[in-house]
Amino acid sequence: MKIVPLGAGQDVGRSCVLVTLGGKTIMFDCGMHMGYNDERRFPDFNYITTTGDFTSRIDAVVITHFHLDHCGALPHFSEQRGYHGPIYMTPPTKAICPILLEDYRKITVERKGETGFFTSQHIKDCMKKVVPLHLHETVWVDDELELRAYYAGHVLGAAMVYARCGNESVVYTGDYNMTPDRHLGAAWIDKVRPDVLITETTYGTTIRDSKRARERDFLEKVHACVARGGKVLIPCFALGRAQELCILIEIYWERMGLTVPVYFSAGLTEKANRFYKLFINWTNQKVKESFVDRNPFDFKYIKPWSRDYVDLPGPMVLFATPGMLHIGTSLEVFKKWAPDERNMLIMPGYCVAGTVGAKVLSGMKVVDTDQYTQVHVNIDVQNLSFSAHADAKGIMELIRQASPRNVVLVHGEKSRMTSFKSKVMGEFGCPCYDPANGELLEIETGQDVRALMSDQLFQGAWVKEQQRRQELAGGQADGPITQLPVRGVLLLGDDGKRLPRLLDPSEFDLDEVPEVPAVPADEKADAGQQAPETVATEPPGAPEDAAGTVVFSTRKIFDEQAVAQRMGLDKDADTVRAVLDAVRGLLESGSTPKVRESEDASGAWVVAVGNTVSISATSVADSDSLPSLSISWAWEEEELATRALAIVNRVLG
Amino acid sequence: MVLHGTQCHPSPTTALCARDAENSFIVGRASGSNGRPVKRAPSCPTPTPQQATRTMPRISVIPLSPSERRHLLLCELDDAMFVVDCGWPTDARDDAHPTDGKVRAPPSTLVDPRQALSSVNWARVDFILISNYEQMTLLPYITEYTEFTGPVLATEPTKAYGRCVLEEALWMAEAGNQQFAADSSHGGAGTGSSSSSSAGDAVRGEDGWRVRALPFTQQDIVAAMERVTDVRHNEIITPVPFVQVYTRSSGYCIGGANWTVECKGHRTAFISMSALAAGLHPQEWDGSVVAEAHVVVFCDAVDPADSDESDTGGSMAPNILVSQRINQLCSTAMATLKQRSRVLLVGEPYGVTQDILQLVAENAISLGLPLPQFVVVSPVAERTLQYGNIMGEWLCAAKQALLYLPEYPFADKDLRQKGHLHFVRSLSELATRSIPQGTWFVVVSPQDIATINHFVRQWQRDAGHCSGAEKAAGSGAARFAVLIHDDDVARAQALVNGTAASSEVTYVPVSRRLTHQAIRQVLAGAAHAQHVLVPSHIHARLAPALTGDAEYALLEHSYLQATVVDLDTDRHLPLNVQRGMAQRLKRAGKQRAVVSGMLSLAAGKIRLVCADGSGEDGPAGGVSRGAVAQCPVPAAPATGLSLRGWTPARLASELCDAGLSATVVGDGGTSAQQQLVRVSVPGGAATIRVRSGGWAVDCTSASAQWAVTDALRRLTGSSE
Repeated sequence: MKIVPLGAGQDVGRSCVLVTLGGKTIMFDCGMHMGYNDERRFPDFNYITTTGDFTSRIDAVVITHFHLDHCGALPHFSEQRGYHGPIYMTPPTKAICPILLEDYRKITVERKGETGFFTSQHIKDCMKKVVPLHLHETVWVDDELELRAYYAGHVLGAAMVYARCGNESVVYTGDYNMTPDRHLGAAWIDKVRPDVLITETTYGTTIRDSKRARERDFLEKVHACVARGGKVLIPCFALGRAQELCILIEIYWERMGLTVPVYFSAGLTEKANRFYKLFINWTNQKVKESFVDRNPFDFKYIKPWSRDYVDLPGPMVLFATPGMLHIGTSLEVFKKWAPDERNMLIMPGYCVAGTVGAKVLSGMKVVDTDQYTQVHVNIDVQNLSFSAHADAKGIMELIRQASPRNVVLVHGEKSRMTSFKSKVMGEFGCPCYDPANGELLEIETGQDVRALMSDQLFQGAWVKEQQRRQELAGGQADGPITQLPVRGVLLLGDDGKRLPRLLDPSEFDLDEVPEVPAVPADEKADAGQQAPETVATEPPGAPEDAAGTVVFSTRKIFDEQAVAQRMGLDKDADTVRAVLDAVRGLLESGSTPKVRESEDASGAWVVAVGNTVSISATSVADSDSLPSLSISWAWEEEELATRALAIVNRVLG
Repeated sequence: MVLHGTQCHPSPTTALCARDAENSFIVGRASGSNGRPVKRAPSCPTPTPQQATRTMPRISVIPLSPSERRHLLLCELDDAMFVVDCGWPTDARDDAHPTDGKVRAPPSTLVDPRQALSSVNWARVDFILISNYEQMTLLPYITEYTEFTGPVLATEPTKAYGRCVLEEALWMAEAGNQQFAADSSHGGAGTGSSSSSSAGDAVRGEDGWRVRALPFTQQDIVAAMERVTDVRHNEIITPVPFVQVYTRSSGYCIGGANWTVECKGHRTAFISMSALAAGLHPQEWDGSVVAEAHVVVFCDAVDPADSDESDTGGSMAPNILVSQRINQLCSTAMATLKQRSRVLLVGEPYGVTQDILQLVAENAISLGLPLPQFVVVSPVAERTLQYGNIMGEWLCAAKQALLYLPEYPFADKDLRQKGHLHFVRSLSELATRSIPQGTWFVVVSPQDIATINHFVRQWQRDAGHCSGAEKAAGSGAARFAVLIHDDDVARAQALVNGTAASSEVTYVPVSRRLTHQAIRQVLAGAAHAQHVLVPSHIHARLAPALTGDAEYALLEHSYLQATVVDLDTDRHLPLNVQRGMAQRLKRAGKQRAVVSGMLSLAAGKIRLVCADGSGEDGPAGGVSRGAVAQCPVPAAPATGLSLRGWTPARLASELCDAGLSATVVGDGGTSAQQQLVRVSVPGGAATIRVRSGGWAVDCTSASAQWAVTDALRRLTGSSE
């Protein structure tokens, strides 16, 4: 599988990740970078091709949600660069995306006077190519490539996307939130076990405090500011956090009986809220259940903003777009209110480097808002993270849920990603990568070949195994059957058109089964990844170490007392033995090959699985007080070892 | 899920048939009963004698509901047992399966649902599929009072509306019972067949209408709904190993679904209530459900005896027919409203009623008429009408397009905001509400006979008190109209007969269900069908028409009869084969060979591995000359890496180039054999000992392990 981030590789902004799986190429997201006003704001599409024939190179574009850093370059790519293939997004994203694109286009073209930007017609034409992708629905892009969307929280309509083609699969998360909030549910995905999970890591190194505490903090700060006669400016996207915070303010204003005016700046207030009312089944369960009695998006206290209000005396609260103070109403109002120290600026979301928001958050007291304007920042700046991104704990939780074989980190800052990468590898024992923009990442995938098996063969093997067990156990069944010996005829498929089949020999005339040359003696040197020709040309009598073995070993040191306590062991119990027993039990309950247990020469217990994977108790010289497990394996059993390591990690907590 | 012996053997069919005998179910084998040769799947290899004698996969279908339009099918497909729909008649009429000399279904008044369900071993039923909200009547009873423990699958609207439908039915049943009790105590009209109102009994309500008490409570409904798993169309669910189910839109109502059950590569489609007509609010019919199925089971079809073919004109396209009828109703309503008269629409507060309301509101606005006061008398209407506006993704294409504007798909949101829409739970609540006077457009459920009669009597009295001028003009309170769109002809007829003002009634049935003509049309697209099962009451109509040109066998199913179909099909289980096995075969340049290995069963998946479970990437699986061969143990060094010529210094240097911090350190000697390469990475370190037989890599942490593995893979890969 090949993965190339064209944007959001070791960076936040202009998310765009190309993935080639099973011979098909998908572009996940097509966003723009808020920190640039030149060609760098769009992903470098020339990486795909310089001929402009994107349609033959890309099989599908999938947009995960409506934020501009995930969809902002879409009309440019489809209408100005000429991609005419299918574009997939969820219905709420399809509904809201053009509104935000048009809003941004107006600001860029009409206010800033840029030329060559995409037009309103481009947005409309682009949206005509969009195919709705409903949650959990399996959509076939063509005969081989399938897509499935999962709920991502984050914003209305946000989705994580599972894609599979042939034997390879990938999950691209987009932005997601593992914690439910006032109007959205938590992200959720099946245990799809993809070959690769591409996850955002915006808050990869942050563990956030409780949401309730953050909400209380936010409300208290707003209340304190308006009580002293100040004005509160809350820059945010028109859709998403705005609704979440508006719900909070509504409830608080009602409970406290406050009369201070609250405004919402975006011209699309009513329109934005109507989307939430129409797609209420994309919100959380609580909202869905209560909407008949009272729709939480019918705001009572929050009124539309007028530019005339900016100079009005007295306290007020304003939700203004955009969220990074780089343009529009929020920047205009900021310029007016920033010099007054009674006022307050609450930044509830993430700010891309280079934006006014990021500068203010970094503590700059004098900010250049444009070439000619400097603003003195006396306003009380508060950064309260209401960003609906998963924090480190949430990302780990999602990885655990999806159980991928490889993890790729995107949409995060490079410095944070590096340490998070180690954490992922340590916790899950799976490879983790953080490619930069334009860096090609190739990942070996597909340990198994998908095939079909004759039911007759299966039934026969099953009955035989049942009989064997009954004979052995004298009619007493001893647990479920998890392994069946089988002998059949394996028919190879024809390059994806027809799957390989395993048939009962009786379903086949054995005379038709051609003779297969006996396995040559030197085939033991034949490698999984090596072409047969290489084996054939190997000179006879080549030294045995021509193809050598790479044997790995690693140790897991653990706190004996903590493990014993967690496992509920007696004081005098042998913890190491109990741990090994637990590991053996888990290995046996999985689909791993036969597990063996024995004592080595030194009397230590060894649990072995496969040909080379072994787990044994060792003592570590430099940490005598702590016991450890030593795990060793040969390279060719890497996947088996990964499973064993994951089990060891699970047992040791 | 791990397969247990009991799940595969013995076949659940055996158990069911044993019970069948006890309960006088007639278990018949319909396969080939028409003398047609059974079609063989083209991909199936020539059968050997052994194959010919093996048990064929089979599907068995037993309809358990006596009603023609409420279904409950007990099905068994190979080893999976499941139920399609849990419908049961909620009103007690003689609406049993019409029969043509077949086993006669008793009048539904005589069939106690609990007794009917007790003949099923519910512990053996794996899952339940619900097609639409009209087919959930017995679900609370099944989930709460039987041994059924499996999942119930339904679409999101089916679940939401289904709860409302059940609550309304329960409410009606309780109201009917109260009425009956009151009537009985006053020596009134309560002449029902039963003197008690116990669950499951039918009682006679006002005007001779019999209302069935339901065998569950409100709490049971809530609990049953919690058992329902929401699914989307085209969402693939695996309720039991090797069985996949998914739905396609049936076009009948919002969230209406037709299920496909795929088992071992074999697809069976269950076509429940479906509508080919577009133009109404539900998402359009998706024909792929029939196109891809090997067996098509039509659960539902309009009884030809009930359909007024002369009137409908069998040749008329369903779209035109439905539009025509809706327009007819709407015209009558508009003509009445123009006269400032009142309209009573008899219909449930969902389904076609929503389309009529929409059309009336739109017409009133476009014609510049004053908007009437829409009064909906139902305990669930407030919810059902609001659901329409938040489930836009389940609506027809035209209504879905409104979401992107953004506009509400139904007018009731605007009507409510303008104060022209009023929800009244019951007649008694109506008396406590102040609804503006003027023209009223009242919606009442057809089951709520008391309310219908109240309005008719009241309005008749008002008409009697009108002035002569008004009477002459036929306007204002002098006139009113009762509109009925129910496609249940018998129920509608009973309503018309029971209504005192039959001259004011306009009955235009808006029938959307599949007729035998529509089924024929649908079957034209059945590209892979081998067997088609239809209800017995239309079998006779379809059979002659299909003889000759059909590629499938046409069978019938009827009340309590098990129709069993042997499927001569090339069935297969999904299997994962260890890559090494397939590669070995490929390298030998062969397309087929005898292999021996071990099947590993876990999480509902089967994996073929080398018998001793060795090497993931290594040469696994024995390939031999047509004889039984045990998997050879793969040779240990199977990395395929040429490590010849690598020295510690070269390794360290290459690792440094790969971005790692690697140094050569001595291990008590200076020779290459005594030297180590030490690699430091964030969070750990690794030591690589270069030996003649290979390398030994000792890592102190998982992160070190992966960093080194990754680097080594790149190095050795590039050096080859």
